[in-house]
Amino acid sequence: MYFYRRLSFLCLFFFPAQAMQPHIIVLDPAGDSHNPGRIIEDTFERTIAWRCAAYVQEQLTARNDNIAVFITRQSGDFSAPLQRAQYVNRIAAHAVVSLSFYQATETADIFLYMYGNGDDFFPIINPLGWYTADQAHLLCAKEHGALAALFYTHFMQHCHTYASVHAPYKIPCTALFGMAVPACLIEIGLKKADDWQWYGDHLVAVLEKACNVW
Amino acid sequence: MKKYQLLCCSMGALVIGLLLSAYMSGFLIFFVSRTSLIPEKKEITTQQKLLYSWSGQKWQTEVVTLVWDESAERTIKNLANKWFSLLYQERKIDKKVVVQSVLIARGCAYISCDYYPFLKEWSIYTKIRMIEGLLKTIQKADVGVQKVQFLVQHQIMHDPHLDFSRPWPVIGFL
Repeated sequence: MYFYRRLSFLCLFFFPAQAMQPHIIVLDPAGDSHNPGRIIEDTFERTIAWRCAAYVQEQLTARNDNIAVFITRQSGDFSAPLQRAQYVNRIAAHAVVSLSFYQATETADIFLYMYGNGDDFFPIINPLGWYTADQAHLLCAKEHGALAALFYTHFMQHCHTYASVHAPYKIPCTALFGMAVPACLIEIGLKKADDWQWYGDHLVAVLEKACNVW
Repeated sequence: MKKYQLLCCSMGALVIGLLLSAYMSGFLIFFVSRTSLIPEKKEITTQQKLLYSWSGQKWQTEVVTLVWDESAERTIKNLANKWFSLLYQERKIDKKVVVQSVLIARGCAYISCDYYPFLKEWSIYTKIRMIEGLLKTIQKADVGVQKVQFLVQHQIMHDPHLDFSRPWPVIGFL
């Protein structure tokens, strides 16, 4: 008994708590109970986005023990933008991926967005200072870019024949407002409503790669 | 007799001094009315300006003739109304949007529309490109505005994807 107590005490020194913590990924599907989103064939954007997020969650957790995946809303829930930001900041997520879909008319496109409102030239120097919600993204500006770059590289390698992939843009998007953790918004143009699963597999691959890199 | 003259002069100087002091300190105001029977002629000039709109994968330009006003607010209002009319004529938007009022303060133009101008089905990219068309139009018109705040019915414009709570720079984001 004494030996096991001693062993567990020693483990605290040899295996820091951070090493045992899983990678936390938050998926934020577009739309909610108040906002159905765009119409894609015979369904709404919120349904496709939620199904895609649930699929990615299922695949990632089934394949990896060290990845915890959360979805910001369940089917039929309502979530405000700042509510989502508070949630991901509180749990200190390693990556937040906001998913959005629309009906592509001519070509399928993949757009990657990061939060930016033109204030990126003034980096946050004091991490303990008071800053407004629209400056929260400056706390991890580099990580935002790194996450978006991972997605961009993967999509360029594997999806460029099917969809045209656009380089990440910095825009003032509502979904990423106030997030002080690495976050990006992926907007995918679907030719058919069922194409989301194909993109879901690629999202799983990128997020697995991201967890291995970090 | 000399004493009487000296007293009159000093009293006169005192009164003049008091009046001058009152005028200088703003207690006394002189107003000279300049009514004229001939009405003032305001010079009305017209200028040709370019309207920018995103079409497919490139910028499309349209030349319009505008009544050029000294007031930058009225100029931007005319420009924005022409720009929304162009979008409506090209059937990019399904209803005609009218700019209710424009106010400029500290280099920021507050543009209030009567309706939310964009289509729900548009992608974020298309929406941004459309907005940047208006921003580019205002920038090229050279009216001395650096930022634009979009309003609907004099309230902050709400969009499910884009944040309009802060002014957008006329140079755009893309």
